[in-house]
Amino acid sequence: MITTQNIQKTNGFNWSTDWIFFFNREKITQLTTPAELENKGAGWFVGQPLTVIYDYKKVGIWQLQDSINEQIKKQTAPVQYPGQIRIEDANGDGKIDANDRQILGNFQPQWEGGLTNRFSYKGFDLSIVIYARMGMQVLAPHLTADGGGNGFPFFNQSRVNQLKVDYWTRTNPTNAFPAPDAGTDRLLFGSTLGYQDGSFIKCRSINFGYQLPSSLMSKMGLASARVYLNATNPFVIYSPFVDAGFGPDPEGNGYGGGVAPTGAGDVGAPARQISVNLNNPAFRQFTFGLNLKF
Amino acid sequence: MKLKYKLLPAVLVLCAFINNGCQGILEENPRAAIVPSFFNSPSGVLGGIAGVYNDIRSAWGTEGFTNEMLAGTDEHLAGASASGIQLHNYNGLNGTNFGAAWNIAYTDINTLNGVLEYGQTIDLPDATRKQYLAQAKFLRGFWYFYLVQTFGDVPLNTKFITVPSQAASRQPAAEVYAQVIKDLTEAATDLPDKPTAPFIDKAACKPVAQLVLAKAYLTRGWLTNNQADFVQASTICADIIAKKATYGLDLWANYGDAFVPANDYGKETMFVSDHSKDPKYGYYTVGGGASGGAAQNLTPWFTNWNYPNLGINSFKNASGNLANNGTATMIRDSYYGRPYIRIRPNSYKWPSGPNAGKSYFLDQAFVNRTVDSRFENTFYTVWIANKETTNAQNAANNSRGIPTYTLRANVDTAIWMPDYEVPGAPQFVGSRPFKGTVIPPSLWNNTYFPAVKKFMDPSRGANFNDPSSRPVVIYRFADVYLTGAEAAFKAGQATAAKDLLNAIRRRAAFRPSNTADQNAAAATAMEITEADVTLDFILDERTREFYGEWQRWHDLVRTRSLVRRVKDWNPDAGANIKDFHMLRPIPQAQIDRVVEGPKFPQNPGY
Repeated sequence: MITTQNIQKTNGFNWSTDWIFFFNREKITQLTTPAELENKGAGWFVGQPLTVIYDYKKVGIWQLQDSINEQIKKQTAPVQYPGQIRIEDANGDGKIDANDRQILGNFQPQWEGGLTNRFSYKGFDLSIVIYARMGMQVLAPHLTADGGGNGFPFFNQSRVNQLKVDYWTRTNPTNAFPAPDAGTDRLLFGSTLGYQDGSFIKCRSINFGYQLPSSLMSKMGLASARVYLNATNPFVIYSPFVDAGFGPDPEGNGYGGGVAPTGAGDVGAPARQISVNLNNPAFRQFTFGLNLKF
Repeated sequence: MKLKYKLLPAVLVLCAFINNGCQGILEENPRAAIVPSFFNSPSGVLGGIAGVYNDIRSAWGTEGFTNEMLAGTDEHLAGASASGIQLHNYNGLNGTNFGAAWNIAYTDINTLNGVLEYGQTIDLPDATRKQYLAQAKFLRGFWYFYLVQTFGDVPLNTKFITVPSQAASRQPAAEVYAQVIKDLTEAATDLPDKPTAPFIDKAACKPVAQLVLAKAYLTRGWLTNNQADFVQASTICADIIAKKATYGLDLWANYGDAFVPANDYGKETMFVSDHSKDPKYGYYTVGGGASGGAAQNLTPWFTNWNYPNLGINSFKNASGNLANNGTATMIRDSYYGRPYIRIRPNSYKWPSGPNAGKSYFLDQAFVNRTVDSRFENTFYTVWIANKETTNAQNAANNSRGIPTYTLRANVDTAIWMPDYEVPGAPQFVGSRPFKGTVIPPSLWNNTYFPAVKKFMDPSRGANFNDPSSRPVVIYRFADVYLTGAEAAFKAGQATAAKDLLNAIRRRAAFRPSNTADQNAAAATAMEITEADVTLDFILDERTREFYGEWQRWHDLVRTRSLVRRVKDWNPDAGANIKDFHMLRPIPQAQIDRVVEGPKFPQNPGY
């Protein structure tokens, strides 16, 4: 942490800034035996953090053009249609199966930092705390569905109210979300939709106060008095997650709840993923207060 | 020197801390988990067996497992809200989307191995010990039989595993069958003739073990084309039928009576997965409306369509489909069930090919609907209005041309799905206006189809969203006849095969509304000759008798008919199904979790 004294005027105006920058790194160095380099069932890989995303890699949505130029036909299993999620055929065998799963990312920020600015002038004081967590994934279970208890049941199947997302139609050839499909209760490769960039810069708090002059106080029989206005979590400065409309707050508030790429019964590894759920986002609070001392 | 004295207490404290810490870690006294020593007591062994019975609930009657046993066959197509669509069309079916019961089966098998190991030595009366061990052998045989039919070569563990291992391998199916037959033979010898306390209601008893044993012989016979196995299976089934009075088993005179809730534990029921209404067991919350999960019996709903969503003025649109329009004429109730729309009858009418103009549902399996009662006993085709609906003469898309009328609750027919074409449908019958909606076969699709009524649970009352607590009937006495018929057919005993089929078919002709003479005539009309008995006939008969009863996928695989019959009848799966689909994919989680020793092999083709 570095503190800089930016301005210090004789008339009493003060501006100082605290700079905080830090990062954590974790990695698995060995599993049960030195020869064991990965345990896919538990989602552990030597050289990787404890919890990673090991899943199919979504490269977009199959487009009409892929059908016209027969690109889509090169994938023999499963046979897919424009509007469905397109997965990278990692081993190039023309089939999308468990062998095409890859490590896609993790939940460990590349760096985190904080910036606290403090201003004071005569009786006024103002502090603004800004916090950043950058370069990690989060899981958004409400963007996935497996037909069972995980994810958001019937997501993108035109059966239930859901988050408004940019879904594919013939006239909207997006690569974000697949075409709605009322013919099934789970989306093919739907697990891939939940992994989102969790980076954010947020204003944690703003605190503005005024210390009433002591000369005034003594007349009123008070030792001191301060009025203040405090805002907690007033706004998000940068968040691809919030910008995309996936939720009001990008910070993880739970674990798991997503869809396992290998079937609903195998939630061992996904259960550890940090998720942004629809319940209890970080609260936003505004406080007006008066401190009196007698 | 002063420093030394100051340090000493600190060192002592540190030592004490280390000591305490070590003791705390090593002294285990588990109370919540099952440890091997738990089996070393009578209650432990009984608890192990009860636990396995409990686990069976998490397969039979649940959604994933039901799909795995019914989807992708000649009988069923995907409903509009199908789950596990890969099971229906085999497109991209692999280890990541299959295997609902794998983990359950192996957990149970290990428990049973523990029961069988400790049960030999614990202090029990001999008769009790014999019964406990026979139950365990039956259940181990039951699960291994499921596994070997479904996956082929599977890990064969007969020893209680107490030390975790990350290695596993598959043993040849022949060895697994040998173990299944050994376990079930011993169980059949030692189990009592009828369910006996503490294994009451329809828990395993002698004829159940015999039936599963006969099925195991029959299945192995098909695999290896072994005549001796067919003869064995045929003999066992004949033996069960000969002693049906001893076992307290028989067919109901009326096929429909086998599915009346009051008869769930009746004479035709052999083996069930129980469900309890009692909230203390934690599976049923009255009014909770559980929509899935372990041990929830949702069977009545999977094969149901969304009847509360069909409007009174639905019409046939320009493309010939039923367009939903107007006020809905039904509301959800427990008699007609919760609409899950997962699986529907295969009523696809083939426009060309060898079955041109025919559908499996109406023109092959249930073709003889006038005499055979099983169609009307299996399906709802009429929905009586359960609320009042007023339809204005000038309502949009009301083309009936009659004055404003009201559909009376509990009197008028809201929806009728005739099994034949009705001109003028959906708002007319011929030239006469129909107050409700008529949906003939040409308008059936993945949204509109007859619903299976055999498993409905009207006892739910107002809590119509609650799962059923009727037992899931896994084996019925009728299965002894049809298993015996198939075995006799393969063993070259044509007369026996014909007689067994006729016993089932004569019963199927019975209607309580008929006179005795009419029933006798109908029964005669149902009879077949030896020349009629073919494999396909037997498979069609099994559809008629066991539609929706968790049998079909194994029936088709056992008789090596899966690929042929799916290509013949199932329009969604026919293009994708290959010979390798006769075995299911090993769940990917199993392959992923074997990290020591040789890799766990997937079945070929997947």
